[in-house]
Amino acid sequence: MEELLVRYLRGEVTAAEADQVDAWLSSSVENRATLDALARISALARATDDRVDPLEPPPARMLISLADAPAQRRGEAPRRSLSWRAASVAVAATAVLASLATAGYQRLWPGGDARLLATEELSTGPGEATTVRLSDGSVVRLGPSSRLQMMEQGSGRQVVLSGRAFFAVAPDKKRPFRVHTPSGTIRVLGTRFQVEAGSDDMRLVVVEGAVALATSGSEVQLKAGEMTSVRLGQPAVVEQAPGLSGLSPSWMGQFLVFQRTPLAAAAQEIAELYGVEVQVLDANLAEKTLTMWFSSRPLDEVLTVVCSVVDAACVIEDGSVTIGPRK
Amino acid sequence: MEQVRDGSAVAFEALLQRLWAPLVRFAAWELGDADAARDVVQDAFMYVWRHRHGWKAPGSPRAYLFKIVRHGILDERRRGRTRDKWSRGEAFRPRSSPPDPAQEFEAREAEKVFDAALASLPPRRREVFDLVVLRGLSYREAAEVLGVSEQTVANQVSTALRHIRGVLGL
Repeated sequence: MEELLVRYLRGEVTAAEADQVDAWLSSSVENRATLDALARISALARATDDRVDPLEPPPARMLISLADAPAQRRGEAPRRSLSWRAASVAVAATAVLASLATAGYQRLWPGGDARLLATEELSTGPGEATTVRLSDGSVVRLGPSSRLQMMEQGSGRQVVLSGRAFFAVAPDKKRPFRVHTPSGTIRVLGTRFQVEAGSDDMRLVVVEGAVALATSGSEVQLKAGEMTSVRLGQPAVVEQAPGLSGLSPSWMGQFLVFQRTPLAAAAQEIAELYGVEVQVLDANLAEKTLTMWFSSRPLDEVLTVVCSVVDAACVIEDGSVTIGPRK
Repeated sequence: MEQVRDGSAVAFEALLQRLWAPLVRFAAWELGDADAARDVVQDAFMYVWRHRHGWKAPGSPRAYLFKIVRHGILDERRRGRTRDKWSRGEAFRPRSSPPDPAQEFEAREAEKVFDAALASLPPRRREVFDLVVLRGLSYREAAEVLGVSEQTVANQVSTALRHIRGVLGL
């Protein structure tokens, strides 16, 4: 009977079955109580379910192309051929590329216009690093022994950082993203940067875009390729950052994150991280943007996803990669 | 599923759209980690495509997918890869319009009691409950997923419901 009751509550019964349940219900008060209890339990279960956001599935053609990739190219160590995270953001990127429609972008990021929650906190232990996607689509890689706290304040996006983190902030001109540290506040519109915030000092390196850093009594602007080290109470001095490879501390691991990053820049970072030469053969392709992230993925998987999103052909030959138009 | 076996990407897409969300939710319940759940489900779909020629009719595609995902869940647990990120996943979930605080409090309290009731179920019984009550699988499908008899499924559902009703005082 319970199987029938479950289907009855889900509205998946035939007319005859509905009559059967109705007859059963009217035969005793206890039966009615059983159905009511089951309805209540189902409602609670659905509420629990709603706490999980399945998001959109990855594009079928991407799964198919990964599944069809020869086994030896799929790599051995990682069980997963592709991080879901990468796949899901690839969906978003495809939508952006296809139409540049903001609405489409937000639809694929269900939390796109949600406020960050108060008192939510993420922390890591020694030797641990973790990656999270915030409800606005920004991605944060939090380094070891670090803490990130989300603040709810008006329409802005604000976090408090203690320790080390790499931010890839989703662009949103209406809601600046602020990172508060003891030594100063970083204001962002949409960019990628790395912060090491101690109790009385801070190091900031901007990889893409630009940020403003407000310290006690002064504000400086930093753009891509610039960095600054600040001590509490002292003005910040902007200097040139070392090359991309110098920006990747060991805790970042084999981690890549792109936030509407042009393919040309993404290719350069892939080249740095994997120690290969990467060439983008087409100027139009080079301007296409990517929004995705990968953690410890083999090169061929990264390229499969990237090329699927920008609709390009990737060829790996003799340790070098070429990305060109699909024929 | 027959069309998927014949290599139809369109049929595969339809299967993906239909079963992605319930499978992710099932895996998330079991793993307590929505990210890991999505990974497991994605792998399951890739497995289905890769082994599509081995699928034999008749059979419920839904039960087939749930079965593969369940294997993925067990594998994930065996590797000890998941950590308790449930609360983190929830923390980053957006909330809809702010409800009445009193109602919100009451609803949250009820959810907490329900969570405790679920947590106190033996793993297999919780799985059966999830598959039948939440995912809407038939007893036959659930039996196929778990490799047990339909009678076992029926017994587990009854016992689980009795237990949860007791905890909730229903």
